Amino acid sequence: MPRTFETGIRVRYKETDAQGIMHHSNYFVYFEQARVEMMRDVGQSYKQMEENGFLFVIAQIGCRYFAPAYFDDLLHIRTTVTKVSKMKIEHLYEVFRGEKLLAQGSSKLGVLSPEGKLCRVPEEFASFWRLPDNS
Amino acid sequence: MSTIHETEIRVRYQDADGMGIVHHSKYLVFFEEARVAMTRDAGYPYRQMEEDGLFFAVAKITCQYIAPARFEDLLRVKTTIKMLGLAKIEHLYELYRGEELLAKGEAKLAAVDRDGKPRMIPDFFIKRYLNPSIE
Repeated sequence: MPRTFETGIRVRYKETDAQGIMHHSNYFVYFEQARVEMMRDVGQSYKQMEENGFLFVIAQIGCRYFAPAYFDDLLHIRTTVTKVSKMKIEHLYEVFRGEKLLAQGSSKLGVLSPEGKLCRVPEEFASFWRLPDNS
Repeated sequence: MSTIHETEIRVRYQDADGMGIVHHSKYLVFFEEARVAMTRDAGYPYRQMEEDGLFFAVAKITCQYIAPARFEDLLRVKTTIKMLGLAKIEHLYELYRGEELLAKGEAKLAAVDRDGKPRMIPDFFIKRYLNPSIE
């Protein structure tokens, strides 16, 4: 089973734009927060990983927008790790307000080594994120 | 259809994140700035359009990141109109620093009215958008 995690995020006023809706770029920030919280939830720390010299970099990200989010909405981000390969981790994000799906995104992340080169996903992360079918 | 438009953007300090590079969500804001500049150059500024009840909603955006941008970089967004329909526009974006390609993006925009219902893009705008030199 893919690993799924839910994060609640409330839309802040400054995230809304001239149309009175949450600006579409903020979804990427929410996805990021969801990833960080997801790591924390399993006892890992993004900050600690950075201090150990490893960085996640976004190789590719996309989002489809179905309906707008508004100031003060309480959103739920459902994050699923869809794939872990040697060099990349892939996530799927679904943003809900209540039962309504507002947006769906996906991303591919690579890992930079302390030398600043793309490297294999460190085993301590791979072993957690790896799915039964590609382990 | 291959109208190409170029917009220069200087990276601000607040665009950078903890890694010292431009946060990946900011590219969406750069693409937006390029779109808005395009409407201005086409003689129908985005703000005027909204006052006339024509809005663009982002339906889908994807971005691939090739190399990082940093504070003070002078970037150039090259926007290509990939598709221009009765009520939708598709753009391709290429982000350069000098001759170096840093990122590639793609957006699908839907023309909507004040209530978020699809509406036609005015004919005169389509003509000017495709060829800003038309009077």
